[in-house]
Amino acid sequence: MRQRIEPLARVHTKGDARWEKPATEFERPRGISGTSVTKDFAHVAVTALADQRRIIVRALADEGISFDFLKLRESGFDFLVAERDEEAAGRALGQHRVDHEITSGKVIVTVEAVNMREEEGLIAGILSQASLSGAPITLVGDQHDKVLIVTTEEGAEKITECLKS
Amino acid sequence: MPEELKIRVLKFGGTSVRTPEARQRAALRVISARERGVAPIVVVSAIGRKGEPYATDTLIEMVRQIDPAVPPDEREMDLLMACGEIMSSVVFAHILKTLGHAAMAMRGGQAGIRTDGVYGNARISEVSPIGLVEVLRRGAIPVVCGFQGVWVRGGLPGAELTTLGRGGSDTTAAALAAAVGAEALEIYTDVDGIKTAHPSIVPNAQTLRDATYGEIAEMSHLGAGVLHPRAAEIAMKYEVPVIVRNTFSEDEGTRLTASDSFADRRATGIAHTGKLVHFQVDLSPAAAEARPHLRGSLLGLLSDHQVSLFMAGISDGEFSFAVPRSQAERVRALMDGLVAPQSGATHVVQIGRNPGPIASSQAKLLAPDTEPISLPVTMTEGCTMISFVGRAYMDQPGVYADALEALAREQVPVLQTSDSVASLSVLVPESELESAVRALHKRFGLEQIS
Repeated sequence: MRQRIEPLARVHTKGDARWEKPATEFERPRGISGTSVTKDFAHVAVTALADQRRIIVRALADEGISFDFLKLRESGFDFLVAERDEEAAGRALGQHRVDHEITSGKVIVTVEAVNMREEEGLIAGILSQASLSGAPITLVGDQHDKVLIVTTEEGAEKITECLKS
Repeated sequence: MPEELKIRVLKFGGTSVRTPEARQRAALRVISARERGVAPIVVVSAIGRKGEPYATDTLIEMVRQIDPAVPPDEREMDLLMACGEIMSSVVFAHILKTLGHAAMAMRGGQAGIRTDGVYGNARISEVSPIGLVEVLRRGAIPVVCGFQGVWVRGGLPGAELTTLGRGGSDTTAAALAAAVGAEALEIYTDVDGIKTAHPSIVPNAQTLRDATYGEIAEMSHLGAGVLHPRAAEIAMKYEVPVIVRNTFSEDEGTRLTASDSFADRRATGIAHTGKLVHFQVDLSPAAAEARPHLRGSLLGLLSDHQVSLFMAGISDGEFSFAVPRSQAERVRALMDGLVAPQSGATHVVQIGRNPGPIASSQAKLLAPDTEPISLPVTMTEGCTMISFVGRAYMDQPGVYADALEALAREQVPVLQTSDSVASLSVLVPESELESAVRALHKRFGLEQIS
């Protein structure tokens, strides 16, 4: 005798019958799914020759200073430290007589966009919008599901507003 | 999950279904799971590989060569690209039948994968595995085509077939495992699990026994072909335990979980993305007030033309990025000789320190009315991005110093760096790929990891 196919709702009335109410957005939505802001960072711009970079970076590590967003320039490099490490970073660089400039009051805007590597043009689009928002952009970075933009508090508001629209 | 079924999803990648011998091994894995009381759902990738008569590339070429000037329709290319998985599922289901097990080949849509309507890179909007569960309840093994779903609002009778983009079979498997509440997702490949580096470069690369979804998603994002980030994201969201294993060995493989139960491990692995071209746009000749808009406009142009950026960097006087070599010519064509009026001045973008024929012509055409400002772009070909992933390590001072020292010792020039909470990337000449990967693998103690 042919087996009767019962409707799913009758078959699975107990336990976790997840497929009875399938999610309408199974994956996170395409494009930007959210933004957040983290405060209290300082930007350090160092003037140094290419072969000095490694020595300076080691000197900072030896002082126990952790930093992010290291970006190389022809005339030196930039990085970001937590504001609590700002003084220590300045001291370490001063001890090595390194020409540098520290700017506090920086924040990181995190733009969530899952699978952005596959969404061609998405990273460029986010950075374009952020640039056109009028916010000063100090540094940028990316993760598998995030674009990170270092700016000022006021700049963070502009970027967030711009990306929302 | 139906109380009577202990469901596991077993996904077999291309290398596991490529030859009759490999398919036989894969089928025995499925049967072995069933004999342990598991209700297996099989997800398969395409059988054919480049150069073979039924490989996806061969089929695409068959259409493209009709008239290279006319791009094929995306909708119809999805129909074509789904063929490899359909063939694979039919062959695999038949093998299971010949071994005495009831099996049914199913398309992604029949397995309940519903997507949006973006051909070639569709996102899953919902999974309704009623048919899949019914096949299991009847005692058969569903063999589902990976990489595909259906868009049910296409306007045509029946549903429109869509493909899920790169890593689509991983995504299918994770989505089905989540939807049926599977006790695990097993990803079968031709290596023992997730390695600390590519074994062809580092022969003593170790197999990770445990990793978090986040670590693996980051490694995949940075070029390691282990598990697609979308699949990792779905597994994380729906708390599906994942095991990455070798079809051809009894190694226990790598187990992926949400919680970090191996907090003392500082490093996870080294990934690399080869064949990149680095562009550095010098905005310093432009007035300071014009630079953000120039940068925004140029980046907007790249976005409009769907350029994928790697290692983007922005500072006041310049911005830089790397692109896959396949997109470099598009970027050069877009930017070279581009005229950008801003803040009362006219700017001409030029590739190289000296203007090429297009930039020179543009400058000449503009010369009677205005003195254009040149914005030189340095283009460095033959680059590769090497990334170290290690969340706990990134919290420690000295990770940059360690990386730069290790590379300097091997005389590897570093062109640019980039980092995140969980990773650090360096851009180096492609010729230095192997020595750089080995140097970083050794420096971060990945030879001793487990």
